[in-house]
Amino acid sequence: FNGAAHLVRADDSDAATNRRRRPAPPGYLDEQFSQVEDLQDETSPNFTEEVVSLFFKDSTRLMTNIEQTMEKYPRDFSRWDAHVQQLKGSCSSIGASRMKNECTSFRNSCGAGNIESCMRSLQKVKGEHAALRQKLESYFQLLRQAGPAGMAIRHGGM
Amino acid sequence: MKKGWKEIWSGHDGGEVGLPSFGDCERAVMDMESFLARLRVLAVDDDRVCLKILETQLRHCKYNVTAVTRAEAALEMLRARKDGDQFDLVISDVHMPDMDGFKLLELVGLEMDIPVIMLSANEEMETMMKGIKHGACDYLVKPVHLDRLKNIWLHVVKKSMNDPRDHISGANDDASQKRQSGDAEDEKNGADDTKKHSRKNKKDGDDPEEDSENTSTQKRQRIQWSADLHRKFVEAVHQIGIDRAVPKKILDVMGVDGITREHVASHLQKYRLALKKLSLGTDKQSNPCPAGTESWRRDWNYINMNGLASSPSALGTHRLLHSQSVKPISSQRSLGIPVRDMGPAGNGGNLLNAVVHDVSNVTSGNSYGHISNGGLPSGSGPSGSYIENIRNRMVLDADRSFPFAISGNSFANMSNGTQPLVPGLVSNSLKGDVLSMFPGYGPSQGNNLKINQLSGIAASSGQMTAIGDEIQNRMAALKGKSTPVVDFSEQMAPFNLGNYTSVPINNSALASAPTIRSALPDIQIGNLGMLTQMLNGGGANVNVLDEKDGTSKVYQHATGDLVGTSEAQNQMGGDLDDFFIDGLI
Repeated sequence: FNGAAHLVRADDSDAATNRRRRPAPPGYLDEQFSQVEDLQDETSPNFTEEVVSLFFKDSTRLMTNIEQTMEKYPRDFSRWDAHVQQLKGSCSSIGASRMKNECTSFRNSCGAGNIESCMRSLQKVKGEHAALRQKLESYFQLLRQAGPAGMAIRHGGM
Repeated sequence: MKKGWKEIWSGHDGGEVGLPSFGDCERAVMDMESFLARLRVLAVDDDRVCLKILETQLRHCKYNVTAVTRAEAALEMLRARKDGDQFDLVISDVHMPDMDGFKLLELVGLEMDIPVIMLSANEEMETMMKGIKHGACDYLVKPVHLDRLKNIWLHVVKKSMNDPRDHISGANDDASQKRQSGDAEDEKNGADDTKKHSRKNKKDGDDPEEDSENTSTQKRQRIQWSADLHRKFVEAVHQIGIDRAVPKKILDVMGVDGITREHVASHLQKYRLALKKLSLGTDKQSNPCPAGTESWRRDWNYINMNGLASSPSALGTHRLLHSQSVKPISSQRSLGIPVRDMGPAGNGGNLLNAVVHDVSNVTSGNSYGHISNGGLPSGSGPSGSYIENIRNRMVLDADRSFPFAISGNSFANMSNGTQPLVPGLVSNSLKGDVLSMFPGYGPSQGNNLKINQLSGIAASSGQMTAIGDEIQNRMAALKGKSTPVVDFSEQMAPFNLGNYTSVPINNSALASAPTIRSALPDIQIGNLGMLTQMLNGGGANVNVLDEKDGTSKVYQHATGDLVGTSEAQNQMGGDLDDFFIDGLI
């Protein structure tokens, strides 16, 4: 079973692009996630899970940061933007494409100086974060169930 | 191994760079790996996730990696290793909380003179240009693919090739002695950045006396303008008076053997132009040296050094350069080396042009060649207005705020033999993507970068981000050649684990090879026929042969949950990358 497949979408576009094409829900993860998985090998057998777990730790902290910043510095859009950019970088590095898209749209809102849409974006980012976490947790759980043999087959081709 | 790889290595004899010399490819491969393992890369990124991934990617490429999250820590490490075991390359994020990435970049360039690659999630042209202006030898946009990292060693090689061999007197002891005296000179002059010159002085440290041995035997001896020599020159000029300083007089006043009137003449020209540039106003912050003479001198050293760069090797290197360096065209102008005006005395200058021009011809066609020649508009041909605009813009920027010291850096890099390409259009990653926009693009179109089309697109969309979106679109469409991505997504239903009947999972349950990101768990690797059938809306039940125990397992799944790239697609994606790169060489 390959749970991650459901999360993968072939291309990696930003929200703006989506609007122009036929509307479709993007995958939760993009090709970059495959890149990360490909880095896993005998020398670092739990690499993917380590990275993902690190991501959720750090991104949670970042989002809390953003929230606090928005409270402490109302209307300081460039400051907000700087934080969101950080979060976006993280998202992109593990291929969290939906979350990344929401970050982009958040940044756009900051650029436009629109508080409401910033608030909305923040909520969306949090939502994507939670959803992704849930799915990845299930994914890793299944991988564990499959045991070492399962892992071997998943990555044996490389 | 790609063609031309051997060219780089053959003809090099270890020397100070420690590069092995190879007779044949097989030995070359093994030596290559050990070479890579000896390359010390310092990775800096405040984002732990990015850093962890980057570090691992670099290890996979066989580099010797050290990773830090703080720029300060990175600087400490770099400074600690100045006397030995120094890093060969730094890769750093642009946006960091404790220190701006650009600042780190500048400092590394000034103090250690190691190649620095910038990393950023920010793909705005301005930021990229800023990176190059500050002296980055490359700019990679996150997320970084493993492929982009494989060839970063080229930056190291390029840079070290640019340092002059000790052709003249040969003895390394002499060179290091010169270094000590050179350092002493620097301290006397009160410059902060003594260290930055220690490397240069080591290379330049030849006394004019030593040169004289060879002047008689060689027609046009390239002079290394050491700190000492330059000081004499400047003193002479001031003594005579800058307005009345002619090469002959300067030569007499300097009273140094082994340099000719021609040497002085060319040096004087550069000096004059540099003074003129300085008077236009420099960025004081990034130029700590009084009157910029120190960094300026370093620039001229680079020019001289470049004369020694062997063209074929430079070409060979450049052909392989995966992610190309972006060089501001204007840096050449701002240093005031109007190529044509070099005259007979300008050895270094002419050779620079020769190298750059040759290189540009090899890699990307004549339009770039023209640009590289000091940005002369004649015959830019298809490059059209877009490139001209960029160039002009850069020149304007240069005059306004181009930090002089930094321009030296970028110029130095340019003199490595890579041609200055239009920033923003340049990095191969983007170039490859842009090129993918053109249906029917093929290797036969080779070096012709279709500047017309590029400029057309740029003009119409007006912003690189819009292009970026479009590029992604096309790329995606290309990746999904066998099964159109767009159709795919319409079939996509939200991720739903529950649709799968749980089947006892055994060895092959996770049968998908890493490259098959298929939703069909029990597909055997290579079972693409069935895969395609399913992806195209096949039935709810999948009978799959279980390789391990020979039984047939039944999977039920909801139609429409089929997402993801097939092996073919992934393969295609990977191949496409290679495809583009090959096309560019």
